[in-house]
Amino acid sequence: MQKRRSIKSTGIPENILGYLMVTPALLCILLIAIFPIVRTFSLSLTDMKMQFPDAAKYIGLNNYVKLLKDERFWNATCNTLFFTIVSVAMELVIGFTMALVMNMPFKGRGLVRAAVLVPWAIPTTISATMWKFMYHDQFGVINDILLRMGLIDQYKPWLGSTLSALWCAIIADVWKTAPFMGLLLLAGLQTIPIELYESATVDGAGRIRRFFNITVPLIMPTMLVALIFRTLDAFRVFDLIFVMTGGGPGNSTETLSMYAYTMLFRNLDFGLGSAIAVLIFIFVFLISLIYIYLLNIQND
Amino acid sequence: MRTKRLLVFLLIFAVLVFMLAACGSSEKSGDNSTESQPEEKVSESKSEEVVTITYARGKDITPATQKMLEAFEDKYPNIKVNYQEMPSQSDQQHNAFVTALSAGDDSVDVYRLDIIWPSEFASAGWILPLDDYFSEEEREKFLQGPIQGCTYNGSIYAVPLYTDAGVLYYRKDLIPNPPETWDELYSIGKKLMDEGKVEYGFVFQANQYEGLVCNVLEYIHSNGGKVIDGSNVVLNSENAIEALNIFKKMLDIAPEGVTTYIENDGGVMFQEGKVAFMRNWPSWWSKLNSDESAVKGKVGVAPIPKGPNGDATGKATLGGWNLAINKNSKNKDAAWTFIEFMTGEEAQKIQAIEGGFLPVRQNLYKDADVIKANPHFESMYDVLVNALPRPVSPFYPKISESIQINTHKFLMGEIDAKTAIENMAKEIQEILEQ
Repeated sequence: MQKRRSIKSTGIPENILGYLMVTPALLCILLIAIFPIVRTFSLSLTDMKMQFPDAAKYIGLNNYVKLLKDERFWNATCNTLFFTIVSVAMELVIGFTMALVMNMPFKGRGLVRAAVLVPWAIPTTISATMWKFMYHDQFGVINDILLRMGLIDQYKPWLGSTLSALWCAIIADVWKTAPFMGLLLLAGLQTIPIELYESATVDGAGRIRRFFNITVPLIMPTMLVALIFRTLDAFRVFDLIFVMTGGGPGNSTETLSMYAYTMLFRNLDFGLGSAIAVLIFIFVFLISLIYIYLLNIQND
Repeated sequence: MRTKRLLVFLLIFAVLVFMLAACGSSEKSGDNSTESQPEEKVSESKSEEVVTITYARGKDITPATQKMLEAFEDKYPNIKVNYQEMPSQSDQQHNAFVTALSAGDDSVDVYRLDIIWPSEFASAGWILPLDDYFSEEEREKFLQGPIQGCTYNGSIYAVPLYTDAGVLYYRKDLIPNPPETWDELYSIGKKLMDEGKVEYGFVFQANQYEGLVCNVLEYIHSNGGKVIDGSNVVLNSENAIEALNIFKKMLDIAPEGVTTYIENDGGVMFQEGKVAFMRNWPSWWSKLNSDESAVKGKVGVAPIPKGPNGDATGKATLGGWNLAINKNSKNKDAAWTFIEFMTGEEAQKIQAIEGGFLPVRQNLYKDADVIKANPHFESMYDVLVNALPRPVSPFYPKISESIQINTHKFLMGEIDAKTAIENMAKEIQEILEQ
């Protein structure tokens, strides 16, 4: 009672008061989200180089024109897309399988659920270093295992070949993030009422039919959310590849974020680096739009 | 029931994540309270105030840095040094420093810079010109290569701390005379491999990183090639193309994974006695002769071999590290006192004897104590005088990147030597013109 009176006594109409109250939050968003984007975009229209910060001038869309003609940019884009599509697809399949297994009642299920998450709990740089050792051409455990199994006749430099390096990174990424996908999908599976399966069984639907007609459609919204998370994450991949190959061999594993980072913080070319960052932003924005569109179709 | 379980599960997980996050941030010990009095004059006399300066350098695997710092604090009790250890890879230090300095950071007073950075840091205005502190007369007592690398537009921006140049390590027990040309190296290495005396003939650094530039430039420079002459790119020559092909030939007698190797990978293999030759930096000497080394006492050091069209001697790539003062430092005078000590004779001797680092002062190459601890230093003097620097430019990182990518593509067999050299020449020309 007391409070309501004090609001009225300020004489501010309720809707304006509402705006006033969200202003601090909006300012915060403006400062930490919108400002950096606008600033990056405005930098990308200049030829700013940190070595000579005072000589920077406005050059319009030149940086973008340069990038579109730049073989290295397209190479990085292809690597990023390849990495994203292959790793997310593999994570989806493996994660889904994990979720289905974890959703079944069996002894020690709690333990399995916990154990599965271990790879995800390890910081990426550490797991990347670990995988780098495992792939090593002199004392790597992967070479040892494959040799004992008779699959290779001598130790191979897995990270030193343009054919295998990107695949090595993908495997390490799938190992790390499939559990995350599994956990999200498990949460989705648990929202499906058991009665649906029971009545379907009564109606004579087989195991496979139940899976495709009940599980898949009902888990779709969760799956899309999980896919958004993972696709955007995979598209920005940086630390894993930075540690494992540094972009080599022969630039065959360089991704867009690595290219942007190199331009910005190694070469100090803030103009061109910002242009790459803006393009990454646009790519990510487009991917999100596609997913949101798919989610909306789901909801209708 | 199920949801409850999941909840507990998520809770445990959240705790775990929180713990990891906490581990990550606990390293900062909050020792940045640089007690600086306004406009302090570090009078060497009884200034009661203790000044703390922060010194950032990459990890030192030898005890040298620690001993030098102890000696400094003994001598200057009113200056405390907060030693900030950085990652050991040069590229990683560069990027960490650049990020801090471009934001105007003043938490570090003295930076240790790779020989290729001073012109970049100087043109960006991040480090203090030292002309007033570091007299021309004093500079003449130093090795001239490193002094050149620290000079930009006629001003000196850093003081050499120690120098480095590529050398050839060889197994003296298997090879009576070290090779003088790359061809000799190849055939000796191949023969020892065929005889089963070693697993591999030669190891070097061919990962796609800065070390690859040092390696490939030694082939180019030792075969009469050159990257930049004045402001012209003169890289595109028959000699440079031939040099690249010689480099690639060495892959035959190297481990297959050498294109992923940095200093440590090959060093460990050589130390285990698996390899006949190794191109590496002089600092490996003490490690190769330590007790845990299988080749202790069996290692020789020789200059880098030469190519068929080179001068009388091979040309090593000049490396080395230098000390510079942050322009925003609040303790510039104390920082200079520190640099003066670290590059002075006393500290340089500690550094050479305890860590095997090559001194920057010429007279120390005749110093009995230094030579006793490092008998190979005497012959190093000629290597150092002949060593060539990498191109000096504020845009060096871009030049280096072009050399790295094209060389690595060539080694991977994606492009031929001619294309690689042409690409580099074209790209470096564009970089210099911008």
